Amino acid sequence: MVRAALTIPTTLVVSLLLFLILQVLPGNAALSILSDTPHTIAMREALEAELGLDRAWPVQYVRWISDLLRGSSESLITGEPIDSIIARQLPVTLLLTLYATLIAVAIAIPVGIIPAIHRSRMPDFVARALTLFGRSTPAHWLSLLMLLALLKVFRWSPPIIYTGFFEGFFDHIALMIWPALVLAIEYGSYLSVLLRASLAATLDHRFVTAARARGVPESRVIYRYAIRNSLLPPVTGLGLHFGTLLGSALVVETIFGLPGIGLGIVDAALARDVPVILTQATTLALLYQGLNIVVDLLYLVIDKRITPTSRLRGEHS
Amino acid sequence: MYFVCPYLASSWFANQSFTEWTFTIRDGVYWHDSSPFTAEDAAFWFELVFFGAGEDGNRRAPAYFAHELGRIDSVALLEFNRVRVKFKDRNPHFLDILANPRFKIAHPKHLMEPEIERGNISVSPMEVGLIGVGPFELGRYRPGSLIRLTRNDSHWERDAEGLRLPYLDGVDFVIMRDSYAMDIAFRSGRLDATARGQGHYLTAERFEAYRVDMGEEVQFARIEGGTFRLAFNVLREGPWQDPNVRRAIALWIDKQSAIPVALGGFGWTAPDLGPADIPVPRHFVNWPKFDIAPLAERREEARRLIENAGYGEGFSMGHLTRALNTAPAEYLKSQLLGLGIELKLQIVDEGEWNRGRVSLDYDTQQGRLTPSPIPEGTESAYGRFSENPDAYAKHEDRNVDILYRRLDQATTLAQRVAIWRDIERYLFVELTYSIPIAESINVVAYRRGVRGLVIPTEDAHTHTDFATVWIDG
Repeated sequence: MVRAALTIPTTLVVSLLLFLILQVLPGNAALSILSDTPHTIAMREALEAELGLDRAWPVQYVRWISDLLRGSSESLITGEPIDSIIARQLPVTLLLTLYATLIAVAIAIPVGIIPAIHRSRMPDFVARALTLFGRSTPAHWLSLLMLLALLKVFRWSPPIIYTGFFEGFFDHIALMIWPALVLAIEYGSYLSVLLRASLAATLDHRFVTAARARGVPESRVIYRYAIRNSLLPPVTGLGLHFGTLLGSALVVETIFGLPGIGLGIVDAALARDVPVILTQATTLALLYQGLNIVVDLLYLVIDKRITPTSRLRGEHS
Repeated sequence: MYFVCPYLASSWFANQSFTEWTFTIRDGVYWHDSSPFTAEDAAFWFELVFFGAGEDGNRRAPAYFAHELGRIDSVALLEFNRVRVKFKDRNPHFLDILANPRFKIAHPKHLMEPEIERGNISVSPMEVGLIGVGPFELGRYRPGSLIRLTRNDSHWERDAEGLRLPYLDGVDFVIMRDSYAMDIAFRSGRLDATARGQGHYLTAERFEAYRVDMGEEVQFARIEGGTFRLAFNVLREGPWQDPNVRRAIALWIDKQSAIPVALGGFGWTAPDLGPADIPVPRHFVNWPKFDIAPLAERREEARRLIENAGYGEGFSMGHLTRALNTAPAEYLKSQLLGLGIELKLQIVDEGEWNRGRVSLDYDTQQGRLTPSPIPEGTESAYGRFSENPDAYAKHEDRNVDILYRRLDQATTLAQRVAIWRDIERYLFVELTYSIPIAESINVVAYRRGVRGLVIPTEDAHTHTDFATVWIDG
């Protein structure tokens, strides 16, 4: 409850800091609108006044918040209501990150568990090499490499027009699977490293030795006792690394032409569409905090010793 | 010069002094919402362009290009579907400038006028549904992903055999930010054409990959891409305020080497060396012949000029450039190093470029936008800063005004060419406000099956007519 309440001031601080950074950046929305137009200084000043860009920054910030709360916030460039921009872009990014997370977990489980069981043997070396590649490969490069490989091997490339989940499931998946895979390779590598290290440490615990001494089958020792006790670090990583996943989503959305919030932020930032950037960024900040609250709640399920207030007291953190 | 032909106006005439132009609007033209396009619509558009709308306190400004079209006196609606535009001065080149594809009619009177009367003075074509009169209408727009145009079934144009245009059922413009992803989509068959715009035009390396990979399946269009130039802000203090320093820089640059390094491999520096099908109106392209002495001689003269100016020890100079254009900036930096000039690059994103280039906050800038293909339309690119903040070079030289006013008064082609050459010599040699380095050529790929494409050579960057296109196979 306290964590949930903290999201509001945190989000406000994020938005204020971002707003101040945007004030320092040169250029504004009026100049973006006039960029293809030979214009006079008077024309530019008139447009700045029309858009409210001539007012003091605290006034502009408060105006953004009040417009947002009243649901009347609009893009300075297109005049489109910002809630409809978010409603259009957010599902694309949410679906992309959901698919990426599912694939990442599917990668992390075998690539984390097998090397922990076979430490310092061939499966461990192979898994470590794969995760090193996955974690150190830039999403941009991997995306292009993947597209090029599809072209060279199959003379095929993913669809180039985004189709919604309910508009055309197969076209949707045929496009989304590739950027999701790119994101999952990095995300899954990170999670598998956490899982391997955690499981390896758990397998050295005395309770595991005791279980083996009691004659408990090895598979039961690993899957019943060890893995369950090794889940906290990767689950924490799942939440903490989500911000990185969103950052990478921004890159792959640009390459694969996905009209998500990542691509939207790039466009809005280049056009200096401040209300849009602020709303998009605070939406992502809320999403990030929301996921971390979900992760905290997962602790309660994974480890019964944890109580809703123990993390606030610094226990098990 | 634009090729002027009948379209929405079926005919026109001017009075003897070229102060009045009368247009007869074509019958049988319809807006995309099936309303007829009439002289009333044409008059409404001219009124909006020249006079704006509204009153003090709630006023819509005239169009940004109004001054390019001439000093307006009045617009009158005549009987028999005609409209007359009257100017305060003679305006013999009105049609040439009006034919510029940047000026688009998407302002249906029956939709926009009621909005203006309701007080929505700045109503835009987007707000009334982007209703036009062209062969394709807006079918679907998915921001960030797709612009889908569909066939306008009531379009008036017909081909030579009387078949109604357009042939295609529609055109999908897919929004792709990454040029390499676009290349892959084209090569896999998902696209019939590559995109226009900086970063998407083919470089020599990508062109070769297309050619090797696709062979006969691909065809290429070569399009005039504008002059790559270095321009000075002489209103900012520094050695570049001295015309001799600017002239020395102009003489020093090895222009031919700019083509592979700065222009992606496609361009030319003199008509004699360029491809045979350069579409630039040659009457008005004179600058390549200004500095045709061998490079060694030019550089010797450059050294002499800069030493006489007192900058033999060299100096540093800022250079504003878009992040999209770093290769030309790096090229200029390496070139000027030989003359002892350290070019400090200010690489900026589009937001700062939009601000910086219309300000006085930089020393030099470069780019390769295409100004109007006729001299009368170039003042916004070369004129005084206070009147033209987006001009390449920043100066307040009133002699430039005088030269352009002389051009306005010219009555024959020979006079126009002679005055334009005076302007070029003044801008590029005597004062060297701007240094034209090379003409760029933009390359776009089409699948072999794309037929009937009409690419206007003057300004293909902003306009292509797909009405006559069909797909073979």
